[in-house]
Amino acid sequence: MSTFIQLVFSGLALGCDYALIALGFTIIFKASEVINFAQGEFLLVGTFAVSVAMFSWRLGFFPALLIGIVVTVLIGVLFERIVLRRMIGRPPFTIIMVTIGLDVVLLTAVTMIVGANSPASPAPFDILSAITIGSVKFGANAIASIVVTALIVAALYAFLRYTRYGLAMRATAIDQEAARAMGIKISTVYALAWGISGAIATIGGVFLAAGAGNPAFDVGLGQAALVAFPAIILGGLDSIPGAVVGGIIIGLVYVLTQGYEPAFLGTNFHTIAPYLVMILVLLVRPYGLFGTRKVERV
Amino acid sequence: MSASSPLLSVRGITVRFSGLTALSEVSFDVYPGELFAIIGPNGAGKTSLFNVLSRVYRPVAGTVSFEGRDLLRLRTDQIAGAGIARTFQNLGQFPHTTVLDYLLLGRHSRMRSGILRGGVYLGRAATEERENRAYCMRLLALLGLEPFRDRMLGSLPFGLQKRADLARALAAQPRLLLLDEPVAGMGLEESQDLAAVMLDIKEQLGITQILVEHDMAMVMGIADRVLALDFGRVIAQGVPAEIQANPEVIKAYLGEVIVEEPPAAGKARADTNG
Amino acid sequence: MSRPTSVNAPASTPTLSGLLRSSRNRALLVLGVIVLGLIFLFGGDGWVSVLDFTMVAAIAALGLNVLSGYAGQISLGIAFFMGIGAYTAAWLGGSAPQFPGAPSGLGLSFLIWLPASGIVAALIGALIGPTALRLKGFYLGIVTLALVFIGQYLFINLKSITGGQQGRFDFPTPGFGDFSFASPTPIFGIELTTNQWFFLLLLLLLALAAVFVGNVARTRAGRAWQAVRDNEVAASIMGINLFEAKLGAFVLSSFLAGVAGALYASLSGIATPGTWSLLLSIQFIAAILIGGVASVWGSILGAAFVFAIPVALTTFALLPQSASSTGISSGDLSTILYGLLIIVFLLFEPAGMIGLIRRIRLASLRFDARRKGGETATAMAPSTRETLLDVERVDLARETNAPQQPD
Repeated sequence: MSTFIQLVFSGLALGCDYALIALGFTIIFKASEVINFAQGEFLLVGTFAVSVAMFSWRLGFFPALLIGIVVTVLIGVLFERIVLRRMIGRPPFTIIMVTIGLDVVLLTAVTMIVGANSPASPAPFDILSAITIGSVKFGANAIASIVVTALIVAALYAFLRYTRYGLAMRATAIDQEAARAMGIKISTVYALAWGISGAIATIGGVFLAAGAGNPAFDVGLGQAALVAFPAIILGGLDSIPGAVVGGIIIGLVYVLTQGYEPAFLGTNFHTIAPYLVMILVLLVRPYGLFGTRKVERV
Repeated sequence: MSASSPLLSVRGITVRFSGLTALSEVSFDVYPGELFAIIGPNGAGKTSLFNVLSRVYRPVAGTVSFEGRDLLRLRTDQIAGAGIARTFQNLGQFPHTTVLDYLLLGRHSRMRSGILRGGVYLGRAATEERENRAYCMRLLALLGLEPFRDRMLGSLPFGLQKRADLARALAAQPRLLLLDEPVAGMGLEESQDLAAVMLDIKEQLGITQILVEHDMAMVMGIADRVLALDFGRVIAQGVPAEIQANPEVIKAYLGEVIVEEPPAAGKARADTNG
Repeated sequence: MSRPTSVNAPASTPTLSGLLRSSRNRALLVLGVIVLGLIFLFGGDGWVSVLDFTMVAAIAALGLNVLSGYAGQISLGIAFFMGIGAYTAAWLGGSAPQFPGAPSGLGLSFLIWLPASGIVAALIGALIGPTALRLKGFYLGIVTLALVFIGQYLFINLKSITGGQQGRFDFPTPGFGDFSFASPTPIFGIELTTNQWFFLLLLLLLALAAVFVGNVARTRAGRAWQAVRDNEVAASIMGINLFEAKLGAFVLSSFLAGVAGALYASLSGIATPGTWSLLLSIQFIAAILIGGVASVWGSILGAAFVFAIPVALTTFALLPQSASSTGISSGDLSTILYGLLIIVFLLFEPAGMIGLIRRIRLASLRFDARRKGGETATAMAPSTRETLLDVERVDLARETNAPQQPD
């Protein structure tokens, strides 16, 4: 039983990291119908920046985190402004491809700077510290990711619900033309979406890097974040609660299969379990559990 | 007309989108060789009706039979093969397709070769391709599109795109041609040219046509019979004179402001001539 | 026609099918063949090997271009199908286990394992296609991404065929009877290296694949793919069965990827599960985007660009092959280069290098026309425009155009 509780807790914590990554996708998609394949590398770049600021520049964790957030926000906003702005009206295929281009650039840029070294995982505490209750270990990083994810989701909800810019974002997501007619500056909304998504990416990345329990992380961090794709598909691309629920489901599936992996399934079955769950869901509901179907016209 | 049996028979078609009724119990018959027009103000359900005939929309009630065949049992892509071709109201779907390729695309349901035969391109596939190219070339010549056969659709002016689209629909050798607002956005002269083409299609090729059109004057000039829709209901059916005199039709049309669209293409030509 | 054809016919617009017909293009092709021939004969084994890998990559790029370029279906799964092809070849053509636990093989001829590698990949494509192709755009992208990860899992665990995590080292080499590419003996007194033999075979296979894909693209099935790509609803109204068109593209694409995978493994002799990673798929996406989507020549150019340049950089000893603790490796430099080029091409020339070449050709044709007939050429622009705007009255009855007013 305690193994089960342990696994559920770890799954929940990992799921919260995935939820953060998934939120990054969803916010951009809702605002501009763009799917950012480079989101995983945003995590990598952000976390790497935090790591450099903390360990090379000897800053405290929180100033370092701020620097990381500034870096990803800048990359996101600049990419939107310089590249995506010129691609409005182009087919979705092209737009997905251009984000894949960004993904390659970001990943390789970090790889080039990192070289053969592995950057240290940044965290405000010893990443292995934990509270043990009975035989269940509640890791500090895991607790922090659950709490911070909850806070971010609440803040995001309040932002979208009660602030002027939040309302503008929601209006744009529902009907861009109508929003424009009402005097909403669409470019501000896009910039906001990319900015928020970049900031969340850095936070998610820091948790994901520390959550692995290793003192260092490698450039595969962005690829590890690809497991968030099944999460957003489960949740439906355009649903914020969907992203959170999808992220948590995927986290649980991942950790539980890892924990109970039967021998006959060989090694690494847990790495594909989220994808298998996703494929099963898509067989039944091609637009995800929470997504809305678009009507096509001639 | 009533002597022959109808080519197309539509009975009690109702279409709803999430509670909104787009079409309500629409019934009509189209007889072989007719030029049948469907008119109505914007949002009356004209294009929805075409989308039912093309099997894009699924009606909640009603039947459609074409040459005695239940059309609602076919998939969208089987409609062309069944003998019904349709032109598009909005163009620009295929900007990078050349005019000739567009016509060949129209002949898709009349051709057979698949990937293997097309890839090897020997014997039957090559013969088929050659024959169909020749057919399309004749059609292009007929419609005066020959000089543009290798031009991409997106590089042609609107009027020529419309004409190429009509040629593409004709390439399928349909027995029923659905024309979705064929003169929308055209200048007066171009509209008249296209009206003449429609009459030629009727008289020379004997193809039955259903025309959805907003432009009343044009419809009244060429249609054999007219169906008037408003808010998804049939409000009148008959020969043009009857429709023009029908008080409900007049009311439906008076209800909206009729704005003469600026004949963009015609104006541009006047400029270059002057 | 009463109007002079010189005004009427847009003769200066080159067509796609005309790409190989002009003398300029033929000259380019001849030049290309001569360059290839010179490298083959005098370039040394290193360069021949670069060309070999490029040609294998070009076959796979053609496969991806069928699915993504012509039919417009996003796929990240090409690495998976390449892996399937490679392991099919290994299982059918590989040697029997030499020690307990070694991966097994049936030792069949390459006339069997090579086509089989494509066929098995195509069959698996046909199996997965109906489910995957119900999805569109991003969803299809993610499902094909999942394929890559599922492939990794399978390739790690099916040890008896793949050799597991450590990989397999005995991929079969083409050969006939006693003759094998692996240790070539002189034939009719001609002595060629392994890489040279591969060169000849790959040139033939690439030419076959290119001609096949080119033929499909300009006939019924290919036209249907492109229509589906541009507008699904309009395509189905025109009579195209969307499912059939997409599945056909998926199967052909898988076939070519399978064959390319088998050839790749055969050429390098070794493959680990990590060979068939997401990065490989992304490299092929880069190849077709940079070379040119929906273009046979674009696939070849793009493959050359993405796969030959890193090797060339290393061969010229400009940069070290892999990352040291400091400095930039050739692999990284070319990767960041093609990442940037994806963005730049998509922004400014979505038709890729081929589009760029077409543009240059068009400009040079215009230049030629201007130089040749000074006045007529300058007069051409406005009069052509006039013709375009002037819709002629059509009379189907007489099948002729009514006489026009002289302009």
